[in-house]
Amino acid sequence: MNRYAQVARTYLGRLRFWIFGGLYLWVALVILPTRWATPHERPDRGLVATGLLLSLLLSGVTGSLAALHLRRLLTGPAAHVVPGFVGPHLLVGALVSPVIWAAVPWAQANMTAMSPLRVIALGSLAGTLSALVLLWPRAIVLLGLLPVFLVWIATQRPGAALLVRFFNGEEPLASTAAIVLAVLAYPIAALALVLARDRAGTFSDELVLDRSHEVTSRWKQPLLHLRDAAIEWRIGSPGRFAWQWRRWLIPCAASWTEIGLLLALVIAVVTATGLASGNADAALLVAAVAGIVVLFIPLSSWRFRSMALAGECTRPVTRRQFVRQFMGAMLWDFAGWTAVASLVSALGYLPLAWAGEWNLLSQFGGHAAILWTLSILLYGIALATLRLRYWLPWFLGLLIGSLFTMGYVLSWLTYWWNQVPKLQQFRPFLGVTVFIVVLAGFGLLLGALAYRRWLTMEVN
Amino acid sequence: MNNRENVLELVAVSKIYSGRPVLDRLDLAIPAGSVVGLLGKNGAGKTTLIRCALGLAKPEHGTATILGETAWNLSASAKEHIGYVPQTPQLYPWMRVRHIIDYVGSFYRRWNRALVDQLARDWKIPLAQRAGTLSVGELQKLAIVLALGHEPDFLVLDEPVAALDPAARREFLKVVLEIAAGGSRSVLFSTHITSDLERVADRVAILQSGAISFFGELGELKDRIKRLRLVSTNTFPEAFDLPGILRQRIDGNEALLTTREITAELVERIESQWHATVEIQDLNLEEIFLELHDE
Repeated sequence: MNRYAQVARTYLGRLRFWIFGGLYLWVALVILPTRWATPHERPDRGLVATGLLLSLLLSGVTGSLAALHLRRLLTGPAAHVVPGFVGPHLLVGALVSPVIWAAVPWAQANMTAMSPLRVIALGSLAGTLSALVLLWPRAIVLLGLLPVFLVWIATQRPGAALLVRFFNGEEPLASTAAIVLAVLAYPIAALALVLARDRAGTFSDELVLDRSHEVTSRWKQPLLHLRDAAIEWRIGSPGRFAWQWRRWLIPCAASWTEIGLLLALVIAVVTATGLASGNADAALLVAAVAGIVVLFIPLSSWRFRSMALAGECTRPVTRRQFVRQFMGAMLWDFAGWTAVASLVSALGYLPLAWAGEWNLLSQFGGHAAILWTLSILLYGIALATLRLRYWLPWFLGLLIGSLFTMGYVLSWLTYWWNQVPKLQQFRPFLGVTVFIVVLAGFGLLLGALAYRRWLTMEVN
Repeated sequence: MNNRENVLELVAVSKIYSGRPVLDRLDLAIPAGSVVGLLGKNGAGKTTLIRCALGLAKPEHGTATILGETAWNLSASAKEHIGYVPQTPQLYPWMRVRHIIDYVGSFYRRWNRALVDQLARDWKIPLAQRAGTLSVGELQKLAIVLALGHEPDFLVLDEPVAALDPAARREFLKVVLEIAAGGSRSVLFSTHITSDLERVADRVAILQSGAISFFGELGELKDRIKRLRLVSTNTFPEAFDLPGILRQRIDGNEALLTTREITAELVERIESQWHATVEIQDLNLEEIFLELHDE
């Protein structure tokens, strides 16, 4: 068989590409264009925006999974020993990415009245993200930003104006720059990976990380030293509150210095962004992005631990105690990082406070509520999926499914709400309330189901 | 814990994976104070047996009882008395070895820090290194040390020496012998290395086709399974129809028969029926294993 066809089969033979790619094509090329089915009726702007963001999310997921697939192939042993392995994989990989982020949006623009520049520029965000994921797999957490931007825009939070202008294609220069960046990023990332593959960790495309590579990386050493101190502190402080639960946290200890440095970094970036752009909204967005990224920090360690529970499960506690304490420790860890994420996000409000705007408490309250809700959702999805072999597609699928459900409930409720004049005074709270109720409910439901499952699961 | 008759009892245990019965109505009872070597080919179900015994896997049928409790619902106090080394120890690569030891030790009331330090010194486990930088053998040693730290009454080891070098294997076997010397502790370990098993095990369990084909003292196994070397002036038939024959290789007037149960009657019958001289050969455990599996 032709070598290129063989490479293509490595994509086509994976169910995840059919599922996420199929969903993407369905939303982008079937669902969204139906808004233009009746030429006399103006398409609903909210629904179009939701459709575009959902397309972007699915494009980002499909592109990131393709990037992880390519990374696994290029850093695996076959890339070193099989002659002529790298070239075809590079070429096919470099072709797959623009099909996802450019060709599909272009077809979408042709089927609708939207400007190709606007739609492809949006898609290019997914292309750049895929390139990032190729070089640094954990960049996949940036996918979590998209739904937050949706809420940001829907609830007209500070900073939304910037996003809305880009989203509506009213910033042609920024749109062109985004497309050029995406065009260049993927091939450069792939070439850089090939050149540095000896030093690259062998990440599988399930993000079952080869943590031994991490511990030998000299860039990681300062962080690991900080964590050593945190581990020692935790080991040395037994007998305090809820030790039975907290001792399970010892392997995942994070240090206060590490968190302090993270906050200092965010303050520096927020200040620099505020000064460079002269716009407090931009700084707010930067802090919001950093806050979302922080929410994903605990996932990696708990994924590692969940895949090797045999040792943990034989500790002297009953199965029920083990499940409760282990899940409780995980909850504690997620809550801790969510508190850090809230602090990080709060830093974004500093330029506004500096400018004399003091009515920020309610704004930050809504922001923090969004973060904690996302954290509950991530915790529930993590519990339900971390022990699955193919956890990443499940994780992303459940995340998208829950957001899709939330979007559907929100659009349905908005339509109904608009019919009742008396309720209009509460209209600004609708988006955040639906976000919290639906997503937190989804997270709690998944957590409860996972708890029942863990009580009877077999352990490796 | 020590006055119990059996530390592990598996009764009619069946376990199916992907429609394939890995354990098929398996029975096994390990008396307290014994060192049992579990022997079986790759994929015979040794790990599955151990996982069912520890309550990590649930049998579809039958009961698994460990230290007098149902394995699936072990109490915390029972687990205090069990040590386990999995086939592939998964320790936290980002943690330093001494931190892992402290972490595991924090769960046990009777953690013998002195013993752990002694073993770590003897086995040259680098306490300051991160687990992710240890070799496979060092990881295995660390896992064994962690399993011994709380001085368990029943130690279960799944292929504990597979990744160890000869010196470390010798050290490990010495530790197992020390554990067994008191007679109050029990050990179950699966292995492929029959010479190790011969050195330390007082009983052997052979797992074949999902069931225990032999369980008993090593000497008893060696007394029962013998190879017979037959030489006759006549040509032997193509196959002997004799009871208990495991394997037969016939070449004209010479033959090698391996029998499951050597008896005086059998020898007499061969001598008289085929006018043959019969030489009875002893087999070591590896040869017995190969004969049992027709290799």
